[in-house]
Amino acid sequence: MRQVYLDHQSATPVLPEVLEAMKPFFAGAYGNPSSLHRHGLLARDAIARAREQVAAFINAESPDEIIFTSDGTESANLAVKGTAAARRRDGNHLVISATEHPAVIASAEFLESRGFACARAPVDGRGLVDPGGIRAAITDKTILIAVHHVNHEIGAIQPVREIGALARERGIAFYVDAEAGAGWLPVDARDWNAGLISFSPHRFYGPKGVGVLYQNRRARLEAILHGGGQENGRRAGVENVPAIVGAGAAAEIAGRDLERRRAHCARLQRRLWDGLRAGIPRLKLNGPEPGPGRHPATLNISAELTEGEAQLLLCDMRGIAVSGGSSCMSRSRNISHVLAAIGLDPALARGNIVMSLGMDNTEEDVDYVIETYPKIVAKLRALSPS
Amino acid sequence: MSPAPALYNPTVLDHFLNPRNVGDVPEPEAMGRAGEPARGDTMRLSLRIRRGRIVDARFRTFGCAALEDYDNRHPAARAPGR
Repeated sequence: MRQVYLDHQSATPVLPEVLEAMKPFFAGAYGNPSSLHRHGLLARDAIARAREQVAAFINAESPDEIIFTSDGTESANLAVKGTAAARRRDGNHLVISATEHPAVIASAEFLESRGFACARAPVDGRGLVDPGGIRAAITDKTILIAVHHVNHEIGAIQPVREIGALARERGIAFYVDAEAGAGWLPVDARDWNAGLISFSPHRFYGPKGVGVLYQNRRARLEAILHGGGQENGRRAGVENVPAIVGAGAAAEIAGRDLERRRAHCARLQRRLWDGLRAGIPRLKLNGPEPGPGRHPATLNISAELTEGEAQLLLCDMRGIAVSGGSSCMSRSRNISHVLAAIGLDPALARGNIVMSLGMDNTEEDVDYVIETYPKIVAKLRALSPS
Repeated sequence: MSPAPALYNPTVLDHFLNPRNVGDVPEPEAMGRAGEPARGDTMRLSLRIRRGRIVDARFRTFGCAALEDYDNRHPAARAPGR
């Protein structure tokens, strides 16, 4: 049976070049980067090189602006809580979009339980944040604006540059969660006017277990993990050297291959959507149409009268790996807050799945999905009460 | 690679893939609906009843694999004669 992996937004395979770069740092160059002997210095040099690669990838002014964490969730926690702690005297108000990743929302909720207030700026039907809505939510106590680059569920590309300019004009810290888009679309720290940007290499052919937080030299941040002086005092804990080396390699390759990746996936995305739309009546695309406003690799669809987990399971049995929102066996049965925010009918939100393409996918893969998925929908619709 | 792990046990999967008793009883004596699509799973059950006994039962469902298995094996769905 053909195997078609369409869940690149959850994880990508580690590229062979990335794995090769990582290998020496497991059993050979295993020193602790904090050690002063040659083993430690070798590991320290490797991290410094990775920091340079990552800084170049996002057009940072200096490698010192790169903090390595354990993943995107930790980066988001550090960005939101660390800014709140550093700027507490300036105010206690945050503005986030309604469709942030749970790592950002839950961090903001934690702060709300500690005396902060948080405004959630709405999105339109395609999932776009209106900079005017952000502006309207700002108060004289606002210390942080957090808006993601690309929505993790529906692929909407946000006007981060415009919101960054607004934040700068008002002297408010601006954090961009770039998890969903980094490695597929340009991330430009200087162009965005962002004080903080986070992303994770496992979404673009790097390893899991490492995250990045870019901190502009002017952005104030307090550590949330306390201990040793690693990462210049901004993140205590022994560095995951092999993963950090892998992050550097993956970032360098992503910078080089960005346009090729975008073009390859955008072509397949268009083919997939056109094929599915033609083969399935009452199929809804959530988020913007394929094109410049949408992540080039993702489709979020709802087939009326079908449930997401049942679709996912039948897809898996036919070799197609997709992602779903709520389900009995996944960690949340609630309807996605993103789909609720765009006003999607709750029954359609429960019938939602996400297909995310990657460089390993071919036209033949896409055609197999176009042929197979409508049968899955038809099978489930035959069981469904109208 | 080791064999693919499964989300559900083989019995549940069998009922999900080969559902029994799906559909609607023609001219049912009783019909019930449980659940709310907006909030969770939904099941519609129709029954044919003769002399106080269920002689036929059929279901339709909108839900995950576990619910579809449950509906298949629910006492009412296996009800004829009870």
